[in-house]
Amino acid sequence: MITEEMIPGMQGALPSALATVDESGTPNVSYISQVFYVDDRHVALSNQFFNKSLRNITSNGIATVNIVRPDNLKSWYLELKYKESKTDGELFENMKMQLDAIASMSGMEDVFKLHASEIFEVVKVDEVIMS
Amino acid sequence: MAIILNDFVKEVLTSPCYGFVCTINESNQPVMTRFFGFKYDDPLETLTVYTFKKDAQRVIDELSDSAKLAATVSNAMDFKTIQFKGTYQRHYDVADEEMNYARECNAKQVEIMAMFGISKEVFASWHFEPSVAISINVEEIFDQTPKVNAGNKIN
Repeated sequence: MITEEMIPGMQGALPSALATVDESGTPNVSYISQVFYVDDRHVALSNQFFNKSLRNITSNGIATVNIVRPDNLKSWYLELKYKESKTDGELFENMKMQLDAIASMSGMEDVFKLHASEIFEVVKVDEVIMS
Repeated sequence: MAIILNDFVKEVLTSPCYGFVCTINESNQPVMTRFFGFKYDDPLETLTVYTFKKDAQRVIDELSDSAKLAATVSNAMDFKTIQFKGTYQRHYDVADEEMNYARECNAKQVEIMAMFGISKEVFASWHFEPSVAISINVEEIFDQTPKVNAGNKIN
């Protein structure tokens, strides 16, 4: 489902958009620092302070995320199904290390703190048509 | 009812911004598309975003009279971010004078992409013409700037 071509879009060079929906059907769209490649069917999102998004995700398990490759701007929408949250372990530590690097590059060291790795199954991928 | 814009919202809206507009489909799945520019009135009733027509079709296909929309605008430099929520008003092909304004918006996107190290030539692979505008009746504004209390309602 996730191809090698998409992986550079998950390295945090460009912010990703995360869209969720609440119980009343109202969409919510915010930016997140990290969409982290777990395996070809799973990604993890960095839970820093996406309060509303997290409430929506844990309520209905649905999200859509947009990723962009910084070298050629190829872009994809990933439809996601929520699986679990992790606050320790190898995945969490790897995400924390990458987030620290992103924070350092963007001068947000005091703000970008990883609280949890939110793991999702990728259920559908659409390439973005920008031409 | 029109929303009086505070200084924070005005600051974000006049800074180098990029954004996404989002609705949901019949399966409750969020569907979004990128926009490269926008216009708004002050006091705020309507926010209109300029999207890439081909990609925006995924959102337009889901728009009905009662469709709920969210649009998030973020400053590329300092991450100050605001989110507008409301209902679908209309969409239309951008043309004439408004297209000239949209071109100015796109020129600002070139500057924003340069901040991320993306060249004008690479950014040209995103064809912003033809563009379709999506107008939202704005009902709520939220501060989505990355911080502990992100998501607080502004209006």
